[in-house]
Amino acid sequence: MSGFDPVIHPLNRLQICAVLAPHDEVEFAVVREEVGVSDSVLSKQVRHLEEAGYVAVRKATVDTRQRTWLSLTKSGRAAFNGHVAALRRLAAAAE
Amino acid sequence: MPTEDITPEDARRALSEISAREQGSAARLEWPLWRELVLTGLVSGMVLAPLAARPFDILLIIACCGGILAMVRDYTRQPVWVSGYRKGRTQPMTFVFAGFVIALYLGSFAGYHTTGLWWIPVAASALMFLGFTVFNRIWMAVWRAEIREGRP
Repeated sequence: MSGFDPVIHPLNRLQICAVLAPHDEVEFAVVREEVGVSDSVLSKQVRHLEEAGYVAVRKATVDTRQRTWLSLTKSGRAAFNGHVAALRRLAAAAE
Repeated sequence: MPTEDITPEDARRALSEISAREQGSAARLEWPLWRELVLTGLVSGMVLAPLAARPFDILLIIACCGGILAMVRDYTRQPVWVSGYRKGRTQPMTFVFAGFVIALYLGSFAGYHTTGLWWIPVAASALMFLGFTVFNRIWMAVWRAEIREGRP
């Protein structure tokens, strides 16, 4: 299926991409709450996406606290949009 | 997972999950009134610079630019943030508005320095305040509608 991306398709990674998609950057804690997983699970899934070049990680110190933001890279956004389009085609084909 | 293993029902469930997560994430974007007022004030204040004598006109521009940069820095440290230049239906709106802002700045400077009429920068500043406020609201409404309708 054209556009289908096996890196993105597993549920947690699909959710992570969907949380990131509307924004430029989303804080790690927000993604964790939206996806409903632990820090370690999220870190592992983010690492997969980072290794594929789909997610970028930025760290900054705010009020003496280290905070982390995640964002979709240009190729990550393109892959996510392509994946969503492939899912839509599959869902529509059955109607 | 091989593609042939995904059923249309799986695809529908995945799309529904994507939509729920996108909308949940989009609902977290905050644009409080104080931030809007301060930013609008700084952008509009800069248009008044021609009314001030040298070097206060330059100092006013530097102060406003510094304030805008500080606001942007604060905004990009929020839990979620979205840029005005993001791709989609909002992007052409941003470029059109940027043109409006540049035209008002140039109009204010050129209008005052060629005619000496004090009300030109004042009117330009008021127009900027109004334009910026309206633009913010329309931009956010279009962005939220785009998320609601789903991506292309």
